[in-house]
Amino acid sequence: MRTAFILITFWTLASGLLAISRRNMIHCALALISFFAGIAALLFTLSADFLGAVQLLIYVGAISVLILFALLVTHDASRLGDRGAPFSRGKWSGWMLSALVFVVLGFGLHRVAVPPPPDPAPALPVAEIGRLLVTRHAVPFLAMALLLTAALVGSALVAIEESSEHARKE
Amino acid sequence: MSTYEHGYLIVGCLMLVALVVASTPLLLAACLRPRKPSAIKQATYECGIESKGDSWIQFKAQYYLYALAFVIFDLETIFLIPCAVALNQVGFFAFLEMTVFVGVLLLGLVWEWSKGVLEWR
Repeated sequence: MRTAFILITFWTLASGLLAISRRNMIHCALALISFFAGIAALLFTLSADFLGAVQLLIYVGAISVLILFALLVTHDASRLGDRGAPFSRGKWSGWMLSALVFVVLGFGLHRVAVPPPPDPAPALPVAEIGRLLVTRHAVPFLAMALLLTAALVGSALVAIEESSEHARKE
Repeated sequence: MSTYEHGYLIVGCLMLVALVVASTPLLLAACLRPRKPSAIKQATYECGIESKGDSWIQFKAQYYLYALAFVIFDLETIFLIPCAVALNQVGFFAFLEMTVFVGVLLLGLVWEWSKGVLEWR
């Protein structure tokens, strides 16, 4: 398990580096998807099945589609960085910023007190999550439905206004 | 090795098998084929018609809505899966709650449908 963890860590880091350093936006997006998949694999090696599945379904499945669609509807996104070198310019400022973020996050994580794991660990955590969702956290559960619907309707409203404006111009 | 790790070892083996099965024919073809490239052979195939222009055209921003709707219903599954797994333990009231959860989101979908947002123009 430890070897798998280390291998997947390197895979994830390499994908992340590719995602921030390639100039072609599509390549960046593909590397980012590989990075998301790496994170999911890391979660699986850490015995966090449910989180891993969530990561796969939401990030690898949906967010990556969102990112690719964003590139499709953006004018000439593919060619933004296609001229010249395959790696982006201005990388030193990027490295500096990344190092700064790393230091801040590392410092923050270092000071967090990790609570001891429950003993014994629950046999089927997913069922436990489901039981808590519909019993103790029923109100947030239903509020989440409202929130998701609001997001759905809100995004549609923005698009409708945009397309009607478009129609007026034409 | 615990049963947990064992389960994912099988998943890993299956992934490896999938990778090998998918890549072997491609690699074999790359090794065995004769290599005589010409301009016509390397042209993009488009239903037999000569392709014109660039494939990187800008799509309508409206298509983004489909992706957004997809993300939202993906999130819905994340909430429904644990409830479905726990359904035997929690009984009928939980089932009602899930129905309300799906119903509220269904309202959003019906609204979008009635407004014609989902029409592919």
